[in-house]
Amino acid sequence: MRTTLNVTSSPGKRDNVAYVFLLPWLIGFVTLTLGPVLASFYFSLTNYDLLSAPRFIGVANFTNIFSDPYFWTSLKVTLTYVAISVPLRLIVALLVAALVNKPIRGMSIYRALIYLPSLLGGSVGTAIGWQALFSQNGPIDQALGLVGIRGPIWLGNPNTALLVIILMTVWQFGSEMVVFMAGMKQIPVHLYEASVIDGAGLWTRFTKITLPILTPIIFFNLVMGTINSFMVFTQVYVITDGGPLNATLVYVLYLYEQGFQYFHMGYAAALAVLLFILIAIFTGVFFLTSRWWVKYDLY
Amino acid sequence: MTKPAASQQQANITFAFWTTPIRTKLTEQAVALFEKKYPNIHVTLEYEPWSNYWTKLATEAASGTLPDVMQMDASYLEQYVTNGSLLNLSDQHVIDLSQLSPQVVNMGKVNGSLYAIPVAVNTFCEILNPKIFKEAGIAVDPNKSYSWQQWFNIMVDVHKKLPSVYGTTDDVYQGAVLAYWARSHGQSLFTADGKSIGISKQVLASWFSYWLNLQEQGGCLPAQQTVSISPSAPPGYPLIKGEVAATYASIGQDGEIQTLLGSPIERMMFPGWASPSKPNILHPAMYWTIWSKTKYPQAAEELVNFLENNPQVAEIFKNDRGVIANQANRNLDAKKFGGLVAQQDEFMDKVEKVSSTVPLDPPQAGEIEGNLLETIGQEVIFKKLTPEQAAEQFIQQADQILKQGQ
Amino acid sequence: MKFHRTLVRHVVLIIVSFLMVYPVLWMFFASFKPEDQIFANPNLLPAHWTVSHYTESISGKAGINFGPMFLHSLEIALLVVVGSIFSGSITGFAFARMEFTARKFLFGFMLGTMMLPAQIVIIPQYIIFHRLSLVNTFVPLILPSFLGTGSFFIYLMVQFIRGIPKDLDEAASIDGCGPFRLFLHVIFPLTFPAIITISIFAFYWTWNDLFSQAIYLTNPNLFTVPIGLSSFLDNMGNSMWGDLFAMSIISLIPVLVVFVIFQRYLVEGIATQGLK
Repeated sequence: MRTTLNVTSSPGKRDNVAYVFLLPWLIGFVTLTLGPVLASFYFSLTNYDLLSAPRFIGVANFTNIFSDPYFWTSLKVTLTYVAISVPLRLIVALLVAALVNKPIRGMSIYRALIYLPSLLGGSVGTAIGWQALFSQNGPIDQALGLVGIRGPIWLGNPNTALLVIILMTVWQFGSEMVVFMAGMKQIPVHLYEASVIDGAGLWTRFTKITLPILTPIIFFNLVMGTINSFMVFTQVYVITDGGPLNATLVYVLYLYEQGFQYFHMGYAAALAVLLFILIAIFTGVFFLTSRWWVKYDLY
Repeated sequence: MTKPAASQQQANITFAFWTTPIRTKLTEQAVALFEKKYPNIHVTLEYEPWSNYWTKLATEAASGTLPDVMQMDASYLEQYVTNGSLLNLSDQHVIDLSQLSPQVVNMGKVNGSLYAIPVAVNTFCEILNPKIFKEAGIAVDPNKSYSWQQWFNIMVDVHKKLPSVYGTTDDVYQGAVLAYWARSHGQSLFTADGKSIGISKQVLASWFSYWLNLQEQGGCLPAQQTVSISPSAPPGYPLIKGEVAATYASIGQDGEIQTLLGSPIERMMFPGWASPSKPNILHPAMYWTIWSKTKYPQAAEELVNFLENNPQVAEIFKNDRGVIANQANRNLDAKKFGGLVAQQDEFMDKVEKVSSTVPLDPPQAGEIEGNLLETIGQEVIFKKLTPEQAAEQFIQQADQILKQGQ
Repeated sequence: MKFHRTLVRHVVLIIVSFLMVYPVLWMFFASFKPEDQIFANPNLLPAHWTVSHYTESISGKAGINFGPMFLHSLEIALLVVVGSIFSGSITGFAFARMEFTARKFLFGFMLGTMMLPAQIVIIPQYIIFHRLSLVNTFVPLILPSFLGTGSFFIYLMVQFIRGIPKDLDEAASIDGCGPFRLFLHVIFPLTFPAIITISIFAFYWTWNDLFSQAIYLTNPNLFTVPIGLSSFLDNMGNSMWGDLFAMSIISLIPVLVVFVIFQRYLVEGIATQGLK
């Protein structure tokens, strides 16, 4: 990588300096993270009900997982969820960020309104409000009625329930939007000014300047968004509890039920290990393919 | 009152309970009274809402620091006994059990030994909205013991008379009602040793058929509406919204339902309650338990005794934790406070007269009645499984879960 | 013609905004409805307005005192913001700009720590803090942020720093700037937008974090806002919905305020752009 310091000293000295900067993280990693992570990997090889000591059972949890229909269901549900919500959120967040990123009066109100959903997380209050939104003859149904569509029973129909959860996630795109706004803030204004002089229109400026420079940030949101999407939990927990017909049984919900409601902690840990591997694969692929479209050092 | 010298030493105990804002206040008052009476015992309260309590308790168990006195629920009792977390109270002398009926005391026994003191009792019942029945012109007597078929007809009738209303919520995957159905037919959902499913395939299939047919004829909510009830919604949500005339709920939830509905409700036992098989059971609302490794067993027992038997505490708590197990206090409260308390007490007295005692559910009951029954029940009402297929799958998978737990 | 387009655009914007904030609106109006109207009455607006839910919960009459909980949440959230900025920036700098052995390896670890669900990792973590007798303090909630457990923030900083042109670095080192001064005087100020972003996120994630706070805090005198909110609900029928909604609305205010203040610095054209 050519982005590193040109410190003209021995590798040993370079390392020392780096490790000073890394010290807090290293301490945290070793004491607070590594231990628990290794413990979690260990639990996956045990029968552990939290109340008595773990009992080693080898890979039994894993073989049980592969013949567990709920595992496959939750995997399917989660992959669907990730595949739809991640790109959708990214695109919406990027476009809206570009739209509201203007220091015009009144824009801050829109920005606050757009960001408001992200602040709500998965509280019970939100869940109920969300239910009210999608209730029969609620506002969504009425809005659809304006254009002549009859709304289904959103949360009762196995075919639409996941859609509601996806919509709720996309609704919370404010977070990605904020990151994009921060990224756009870093773009030197003179690049835009120069292009305007050259006669570039809004769209050209966006695609030739903003987008390329933003690729590292887009990549960040892609990776983070994917990782977080795989771990979706709270919204489903408070709104649908995995139903109907397990149409919204996301992976971490199933994991939580197994671990914390039924005390199959070893099994839950095994599920976590598999999730870890899955996410690592996705992330690895993203990083490997990033060299083709993510550009640093553009100006 | 003379006490052994040991109890005069300073004791610091922790007392954990799941709570609501109201219960916190009531408990603080009760504990303050206790500390006045026993100045050498200091009680530290630990409380959180139900949703956090069990995760918290399990985490504390994992790190070996459980509270000295714990409020306990029937669904977790056996687990905590099995892993040795609870003190055996069979031979203790401090806690007075004389005001609890033997039936009630038995609810706290696991493998024949007493590990938990029932605080209050509870039961499940049908909550009726009399307004809707009146509007439909249907006379219903909440004290009558209807047969399942008669009740079926009444529910369908409601929908016929008021097409926008359905008779009842769909209880097809309510484990407690299924267990009741099993007992109505002289069977039991779990075998007495808790190692396998005790209900027969025929009876189970008839259960699924009942609800499928009821749904077909409008006697209960359609499938999509049933499954769209959010876990965060208040109990009896469809009743509150006026979508059904009857719903299943527990005593304790009845007060909230009545408040949110804004008009009086009626309580009725499930169909066939007068049958000789005595399908109704008492359900322990919660227990007091003591940590097996407590450093102050005497002090812990004093606290439990005080909370369980002191009439002033009963007046403070009223029915916040359920209908009081201590019979003398229950009668005192009903006489003194009337209103909701008296209604609940009265209903509970009626139920107790026709109830039988059953062994505790096995620890996997939660998973079976929750997850498994819910999935299969939903598949039945969405017509993805026939009642017979559903019965077969349920029994097979439930037995597997029970086997794995051993 | 143009007028029509603007009008349509505004109508669409308003409808969309309305739908977007509807759940909050619903909660807002529900908090002013008497308890028996909240669910029974399907209309959005209350038929009778009442402020009892607000007065009850603030005054502590309902058994919860939200005042101290707000202060605790504020304290924890602010400290986490500071910790996150601190550890996120120096760790991000090291990964982005410095070369050292095992760099790619450690970077992978750093990302890897995010890939395990919190629900699994918290049990062993709790035991660690328990052995250190730090349970029932704010330490388990704050210390990790100073020790770089927020990989999200570290990686964010990495990406931002990589976007800073290296000719700055070279210019600085020609001037005799060592790595520390390079970081402090050159790089760190240029990551201002990222720092703002970290502040916003760290604040509201901590503010809303029920799971960890509920696990580590047992003493009711230390309770925070999310714990307080969850205590309004009871599975046995003593839920206090109106109070829950009222307090949910109030607890939205600090996060919203933080956002409104900070977001100004993210908009193009406001505040200074880097230095050359």
